[in-house]
Amino acid sequence: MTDTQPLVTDFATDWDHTDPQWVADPYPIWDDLRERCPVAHTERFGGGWFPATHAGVTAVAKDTENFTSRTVVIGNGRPGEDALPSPIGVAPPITSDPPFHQIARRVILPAFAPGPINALEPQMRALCRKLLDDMAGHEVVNGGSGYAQFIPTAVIRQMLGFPEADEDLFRDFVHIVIGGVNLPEEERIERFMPIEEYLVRQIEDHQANPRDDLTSYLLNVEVAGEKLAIEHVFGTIILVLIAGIDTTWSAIGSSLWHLGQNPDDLARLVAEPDLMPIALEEFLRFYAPVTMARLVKHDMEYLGCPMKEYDWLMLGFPAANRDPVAFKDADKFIIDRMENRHLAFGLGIHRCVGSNLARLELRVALEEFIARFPRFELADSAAVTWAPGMIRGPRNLPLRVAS
Amino acid sequence: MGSDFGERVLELANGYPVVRSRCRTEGRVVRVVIDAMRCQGHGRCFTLAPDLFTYDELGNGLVVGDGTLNDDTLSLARLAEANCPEHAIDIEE
Repeated sequence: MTDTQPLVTDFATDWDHTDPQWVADPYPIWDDLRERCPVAHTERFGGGWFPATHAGVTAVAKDTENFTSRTVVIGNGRPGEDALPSPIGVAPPITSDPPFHQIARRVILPAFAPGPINALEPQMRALCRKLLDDMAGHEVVNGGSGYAQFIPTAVIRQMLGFPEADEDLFRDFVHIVIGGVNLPEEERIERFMPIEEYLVRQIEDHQANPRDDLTSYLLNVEVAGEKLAIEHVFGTIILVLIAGIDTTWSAIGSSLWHLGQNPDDLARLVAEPDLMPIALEEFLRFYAPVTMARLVKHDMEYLGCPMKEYDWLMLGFPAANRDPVAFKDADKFIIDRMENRHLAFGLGIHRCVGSNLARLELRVALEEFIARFPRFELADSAAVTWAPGMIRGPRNLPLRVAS
Repeated sequence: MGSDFGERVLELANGYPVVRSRCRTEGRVVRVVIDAMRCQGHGRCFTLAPDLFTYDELGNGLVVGDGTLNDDTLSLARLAEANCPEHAIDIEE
């Protein structure tokens, strides 16, 4: 971990996305880098680059010749040729490059297309309403760990078809998986052991008793007449756990955080429910939760920088979304922004497979929250904590829902 | 979301300069197309303009029918074009 790292004094030459200043408020840092660099460098994490502009992020996201997705989460050291793809094992297709990427992606896209995802809306709504029912009588509620967190956790468990009785266990596992992304290899393997055993048991149960869920889908889907290798099924389930939970949790939390401080935007959403699909995209642009990473494939001069093989390249979609070259009034939240080509779900062949799911969860979570609490406000801004690392969102989020 | 949403989006879109200033077909045959090579399935087009766009089994965007536009649907097509992160929507005049 970087707890022992010195504080950053110049992000242009020593960036660190786990630095407290970055975690608290990265936006002024990115604005500054965009003016000065615009590609920042660091010797931390074994060495890496961070383009802060929309153009730089776009170039890298679309370039699978010069960058590999073999690891997409920045670890402490320099991943060598033999390093396991991060975070554990293979998590196809996010950790895949062409040509295998296309096969792995083709396999899971139908399960995340709008048809099957939209069918989940009634159960999502019921889940949100139950969480809101549980808040009854409270003056201050936690919009993060008491609401946003539960929604994708339950949705993903239901999609995978894991027993409802395992809800608490599953949530613990999710926390270990998410929190373990940056742990040293040995510790990670040790902590993941019970999760691996659990997942193997679930997979075996689905093999014996196939049903209509994502796990059975992955076990039965065929590519060129062949079922997927069991490691592939396992890896994709891991991917769903890592990519499908704290990401959406963060998006919901950031949106509530915004609405808790901007009563005009809240009032407008309450008064104009049809605005929601457009407002959602501005929440996603302005508070994009997900940063990804690539590895440099070979020594090269790129974006004017002398990049070396296996340097990290941090792909800051949230920074690209604040680039004034690409967005008019980029630093302003405009709830009815009509031109919004944001990159919250990435760009190119690795576009977030779960984007339809995430968008639906975000919409339902916000619609239900504001229907129950048409007026609410941030209770204590100093108490808000932000997740460090590559997924940004509020964890502790006290909201005053009644006075 | 049905056509009510479409009308509401249209109303919002028509207050938006880029769309408003370019939303007349003026008798020309104007069509909207999706470049399948560029589309990555962000889903922005069929979310914003479900009367004009739909999706295939992978979730990639598809144009409904032959994509011929009138003045109203041209506004919506412009809006979709202005929101596609991959610049995969083209309006052919």
